[in-house]
Amino acid sequence: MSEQRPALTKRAFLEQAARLGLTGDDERMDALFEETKRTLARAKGVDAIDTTGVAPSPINPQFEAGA
Amino acid sequence: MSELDGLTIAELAERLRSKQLSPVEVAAASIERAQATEPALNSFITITGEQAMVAAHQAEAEIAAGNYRGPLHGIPFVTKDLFWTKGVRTTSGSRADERFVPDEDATVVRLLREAGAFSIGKTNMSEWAFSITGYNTHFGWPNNPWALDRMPAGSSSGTGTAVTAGVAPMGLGTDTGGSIRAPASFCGLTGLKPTYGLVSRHGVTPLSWSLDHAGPLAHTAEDVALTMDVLARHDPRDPFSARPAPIDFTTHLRDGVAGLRIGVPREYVWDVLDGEVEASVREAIAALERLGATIVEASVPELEWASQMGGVLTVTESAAYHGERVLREGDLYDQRTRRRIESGFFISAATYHQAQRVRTMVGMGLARVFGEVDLLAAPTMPVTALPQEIALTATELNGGSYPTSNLMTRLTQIFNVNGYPALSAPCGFSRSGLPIGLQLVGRPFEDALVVQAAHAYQGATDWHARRPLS
Repeated sequence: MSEQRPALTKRAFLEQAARLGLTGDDERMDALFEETKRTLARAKGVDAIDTTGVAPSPINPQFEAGA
Repeated sequence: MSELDGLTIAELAERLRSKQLSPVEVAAASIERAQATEPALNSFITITGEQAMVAAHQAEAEIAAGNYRGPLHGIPFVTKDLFWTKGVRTTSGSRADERFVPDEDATVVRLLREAGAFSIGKTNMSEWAFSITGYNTHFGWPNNPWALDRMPAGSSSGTGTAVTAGVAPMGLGTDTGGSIRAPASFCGLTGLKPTYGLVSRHGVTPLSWSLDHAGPLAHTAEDVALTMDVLARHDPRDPFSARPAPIDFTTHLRDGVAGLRIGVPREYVWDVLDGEVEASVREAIAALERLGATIVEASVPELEWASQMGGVLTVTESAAYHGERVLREGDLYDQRTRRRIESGFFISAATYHQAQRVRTMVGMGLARVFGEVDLLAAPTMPVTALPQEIALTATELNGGSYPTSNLMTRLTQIFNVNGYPALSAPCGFSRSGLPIGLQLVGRPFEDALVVQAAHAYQGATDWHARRPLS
């Protein structure tokens, strides 16, 4: 996941939000945009971690694989 | 204050078993304490005094008839308001659920009732458990009994304040990014986030399915052990409930730490830390060494990834859980909570799976280090209880500025992502009189060893025995 995605623009955010059913007045959508940028910044940090050759591992309650 | 306020389960149980004390006396003192402290602490969303007295009378009759069930018989507890309670509203800290009255108990509540314990009430919490600070605009913020202008931490905030204030010797909490250990650290309690899957989450409102854990907060490791002997059960109604061999928390509780290898992480955990916290935690580790443990440096560089990855999982899974509801009823949510949940809609499936790959890598790092040590020791929180007014902003520490929520989950969430058991025990106080927490982490399903080590430490120190004034 080392590929860099472009930053989310306000316009793209509003279009995606509308598709997701997220609506509200300008003040609410501005605040949601800021929150979303913070979340995506954190996601970008996760995307940047080199996971080559590693399979996804949802938590295993029996820890057969993890420990 | 009553002479019963602040006693431990072990202390109360001995008097109850020998009939020197009645459960009715205990319940009455507990309810009185809840009502007396509530104006200052705001620990509760619902106090269930009448139900508690009915249960206490039943316990009294059973013990009088010679049917003593065990150490929790006649013991009051408090219940974070996201554990379902039959016939008692369960708000999960949100106005959106203020009329939700479950028709059954959460499995853990049922297990405690079957052991003869009774609930005094439903405690305040962060809405949907989605804040480490205890922030709640619907029901007000609980205040830390050690300093009322300080946050008790959350999301099990009211459980932390009620137990600290002596309302009940034990309470139930949940921990997705630190929500048991953070209030334990800020309030001077002992709190255990058990191994993922060891304690049932049936009847517990989810925040993030793969990160949520349920567990107890109490004054002592011994009380945690007594409670875990009741709670650690396979539950077929929780699809993530594990089937480990039965874990006995009390048989080896007094076996000490001699011969154990305790690892101190070299990376990450000491990077952003208040000086008084570091000094107290390092002294606690030295105390464990004096008790016979071997202290070794442990390298787990993968921990640095865990907190960031855990945050991504939390917002994504909470968006999945709240889904249509937050679109339909979002106006009933606190708007900050609502936005945090809604931001999870923007995480791609590819990123979610990338986080799961990182989870694998962190798990491999922990498995590697736990091949060399029996336990890890670290600070629970980077700081002592913070002022309420910075809960939603930033904390200045050592010349840096950190979003308060991120700072507060920094050292706890790293052990949620792979489900390792982690406990916080008090290990000192700041010069301003605020508690400091030591975090002990064990291998999966070796929860009893974690509690055993904390008990050994508490046998050599008295931090856990301190109580806030009045």
